[in-house]
Amino acid sequence: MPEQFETAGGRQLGWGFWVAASICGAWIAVAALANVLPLPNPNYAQLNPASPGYCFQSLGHPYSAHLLGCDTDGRDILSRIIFGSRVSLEVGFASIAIGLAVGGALGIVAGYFRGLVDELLTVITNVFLSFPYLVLALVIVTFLGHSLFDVIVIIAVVAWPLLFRVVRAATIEYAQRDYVLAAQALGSKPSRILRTLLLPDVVPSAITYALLGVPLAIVAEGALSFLGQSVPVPTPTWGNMIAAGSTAISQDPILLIAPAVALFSFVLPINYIGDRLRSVLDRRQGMT
Amino acid sequence: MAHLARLRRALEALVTLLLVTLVTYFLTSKLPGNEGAVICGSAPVSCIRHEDMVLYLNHPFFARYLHWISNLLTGNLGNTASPPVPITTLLKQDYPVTLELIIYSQVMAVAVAIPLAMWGALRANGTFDKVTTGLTFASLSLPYFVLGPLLVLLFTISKPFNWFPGVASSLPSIWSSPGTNLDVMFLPSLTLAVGSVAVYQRLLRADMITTLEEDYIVMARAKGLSTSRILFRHALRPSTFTVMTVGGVQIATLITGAVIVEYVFGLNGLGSALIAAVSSKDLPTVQVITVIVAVAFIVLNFTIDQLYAVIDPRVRRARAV
Repeated sequence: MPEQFETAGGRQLGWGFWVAASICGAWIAVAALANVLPLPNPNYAQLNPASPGYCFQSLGHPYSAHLLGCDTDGRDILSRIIFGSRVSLEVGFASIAIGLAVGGALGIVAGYFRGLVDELLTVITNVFLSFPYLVLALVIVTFLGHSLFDVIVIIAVVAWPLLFRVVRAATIEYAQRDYVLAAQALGSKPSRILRTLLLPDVVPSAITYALLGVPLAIVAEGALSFLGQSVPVPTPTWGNMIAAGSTAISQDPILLIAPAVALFSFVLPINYIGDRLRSVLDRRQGMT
Repeated sequence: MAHLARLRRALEALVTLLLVTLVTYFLTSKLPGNEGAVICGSAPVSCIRHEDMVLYLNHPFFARYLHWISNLLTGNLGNTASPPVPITTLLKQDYPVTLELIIYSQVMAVAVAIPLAMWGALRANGTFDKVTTGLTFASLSLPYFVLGPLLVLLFTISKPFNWFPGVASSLPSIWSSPGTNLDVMFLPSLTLAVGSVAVYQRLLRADMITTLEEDYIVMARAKGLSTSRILFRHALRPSTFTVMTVGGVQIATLITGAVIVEYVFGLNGLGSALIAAVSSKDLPTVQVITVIVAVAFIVLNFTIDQLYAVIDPRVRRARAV
């Protein structure tokens, strides 16, 4: 009943939800259009005093050509923040999508069939969850590498056990409903029950928890970047900008504040969206 | 039955422990570059041969793992890659900082979260409650690596509030000069505490609201007991069970946080040691620290699970049936 979920939920979500959604939408649009927007090259150091975009002295002096000024290497901060949002968003959504695909598929199988498969998978996820996520990510990053794809895979490896747990728990609950028992009694094949009955039921909670995972993934990438263990340096990321800003903190606080505000202004609304969706979901499940 | 369940739980924890060491060893033995070569650096081939022999590197995976784990269990943690220092020395020097950081931050977090949650729960959805809940929610979106540098900016650099010593101030032992030590550790611990305050406040507030609706609270009110007595003596303990359970899981977050906080503030703890080891591809050290951290987490969660029954007599009785 996805339609019912949307209409009944739409009214319960409140205006804050739509404000948060617009902010996230704006960030996604800006990140997608970064190449088209009139921005200087994020990696171009404008250190030549003769050039029109000369920037080195403009540390902390925003002017028309550079709205937020430039960093210690003479690179435009605004441009770096906008291009940096790409890494955060790509890693945030892609890693959770992979984690959801893997964790969700295994979770629905474990939750429906139970037994040995379930016990085995549960032990495996417990092992994964015994590592603090950053420690696990740091260990994997040392042998996988630092490309964007590597980072996405690393965070997906860290994220899938949580999504597995959520989907497994939801499946166990729905598998005891009457219509599932009826389908079993009629002799439907398990693959059919999983696909046509359980999957649509599990999707809302899976999506909600996946959305709650996106900010966590973005923060995880930020932490790796901050420690210099994510995408290599010339590429701007919010994490490595915050790291650079915190070492140049006494020269100009904007180097730290600008990327910090950027990260906060994306993570807060998306956390809020996830939180609202979850409370609507909880209420809906409470009713049925 | 109760004993059987407890035994099963202990067995599960033990199996998880074993698998955690196996996974750690597997992951780190996949690292590029021969372990012996990393340890010896540019030293001659004979050194690499020697290290290979010491580390069983020319043996199959499980033989190597068994050799490594039996060494670990007998307390022989091996040496760091370069320069070769016994890892035990490194750990002895680093773990007190991490431990103090975590304890200090949790003391702060509990001291702030309990009153916030109580006042909020007392007038649920009042102005105070809405403001604190909103603030703690917002603080959940401030990761350690953002909050830490911002606190450094606010409280060590800019003029009116530069109350605390700056980053990388030397850290004296807490036993010799507690004042300076707590001063240096204040901002790092605060960074770590903010996230915990949010988690504890939200859970405690929710449970507290439920507790305050119970009959025995109404009874206590009717007897004319003071609000603070009702809150602290009657309502607090039964409201702490969710916080207790989540507190165990929180430790994992705190360890992640400690890695970043130590890096931000230039403290020499286990987190900085791990980052240094990862950056220099120092396998033996990465393995040992990862295993220690994971083992500490599992043991702590198991202990909290057991404590849970001690604190809540209802659970104890339910399990005994």
